[in-house]
Amino acid sequence: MIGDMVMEQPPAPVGTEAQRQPRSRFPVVHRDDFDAFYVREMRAVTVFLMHQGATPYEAADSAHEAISKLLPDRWRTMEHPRAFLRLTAQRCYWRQNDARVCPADPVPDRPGGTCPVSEVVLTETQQRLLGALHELPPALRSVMAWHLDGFDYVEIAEALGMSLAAVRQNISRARRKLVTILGLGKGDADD
Amino acid sequence: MTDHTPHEGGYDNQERLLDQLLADHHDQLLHTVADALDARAGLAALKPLRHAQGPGLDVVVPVHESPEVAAWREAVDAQRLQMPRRPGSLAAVLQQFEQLTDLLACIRRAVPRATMVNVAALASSLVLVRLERGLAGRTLTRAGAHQLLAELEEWLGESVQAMAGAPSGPGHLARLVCAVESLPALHTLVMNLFEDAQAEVPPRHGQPACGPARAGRGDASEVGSRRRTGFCGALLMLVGVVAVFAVWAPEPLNGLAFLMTVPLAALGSRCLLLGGAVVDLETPSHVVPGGYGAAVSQPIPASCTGSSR
Repeated sequence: MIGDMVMEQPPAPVGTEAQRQPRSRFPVVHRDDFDAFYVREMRAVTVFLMHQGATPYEAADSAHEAISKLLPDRWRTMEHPRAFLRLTAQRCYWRQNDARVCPADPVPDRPGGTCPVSEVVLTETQQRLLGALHELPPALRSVMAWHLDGFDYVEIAEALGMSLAAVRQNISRARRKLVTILGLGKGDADD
Repeated sequence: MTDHTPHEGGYDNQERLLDQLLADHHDQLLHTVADALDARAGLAALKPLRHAQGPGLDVVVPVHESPEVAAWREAVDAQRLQMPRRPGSLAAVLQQFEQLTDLLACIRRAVPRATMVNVAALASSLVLVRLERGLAGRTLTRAGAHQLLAELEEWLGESVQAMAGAPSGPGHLARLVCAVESLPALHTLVMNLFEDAQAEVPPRHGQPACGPARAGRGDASEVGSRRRTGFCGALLMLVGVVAVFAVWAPEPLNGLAFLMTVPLAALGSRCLLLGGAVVDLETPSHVVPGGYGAAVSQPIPASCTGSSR
């Protein structure tokens, strides 16, 4: 049940709004519309990789490469394309990190010389939260990225080959660390 | 945003605040990235992959083909189509056998069972099966193929004679007569198979002989070589014994023994030299005992013909 587009939700706390109005985290995949699939997953996987420490450019590059591996027909026939995409993109990013060479030449002074993704301007809150996530140890950061992308504990455990208890423990530790890093315990959280 | 339940504990204001922060951050980041991404360019880049048949299997279609290139391509295609099949190829022979078998099966279906036509057609079919299996499996000799073809000719002649006086299917007689008339050509084709097989095994010096006929010659030379080696060994042992005797024997005999040692040693060394050269002095390796007929009457090993079934 990894990465289904529409999944059964874990039981919500009694009396909450979520219990009364069950919501769907993931949009239903229309397997005949690749353009919609690409637009939705490209941005989701890019953000997923940014949570793992990638720059916007690296994340978009890896996400595009991962989506290309679902062509021509695997995106339509695969049972869990979302989980496959994220695992593939993660590996592409790690591999890319080993071989990436930063260009020493200045940016060409012509239109089209730079990728718009590399020029993304993040707000201060976004930078602060991304910085906090980057301060986490790699294992906690990876699990937290999956968790932020909407995968539940069981799906994360299956995707990453971990036990359910390990996933639960990692997320719990990551959250405690984030609370500490962001200073939320002191009551000075900046919304 | 979380799977936390009230039973796990610790879901206090800090956690709730963190959840809210992370959820807002995730939504805002999604929007920011979506604005920055150029989906149209990405989709255009992926377009070739979307219609690919598989990795490396894209069909390359020339967009602009000059008239010269088109004419050359058409000429090559036409030449390829008009290229005649190799007349002596096994596939051509087997194809003719197959056609003949089909014709005989039609004839057998068209006539009653106990008639002479049916019997002759059945006998012809059986001969054809033996021929086909023998040639395809390369277990048939040239003489055997010749005999089977003669037998086939005889049975087909019987069939034609029987059909001339008995009712049969439409056009069967005419087709069978055509088949009988083409039998000499088929005979030649089959015999050419053996000629080609022989021609494809050029006799060469210094290479291991292949085929049963070569194996026999190789065995004889090995036996002769072993005999010569044994004779030389015995002669050298005799030289050694005589030399020892010449050293330890009493006075009148040791001189005689010493005199015998010299010619014996000379003879032994000469035999050794001749034994080494005898391999090169033998008959050429392509000369087969029994002559050409014996060679072609042996079954043709598939490894020698170089042709695949």
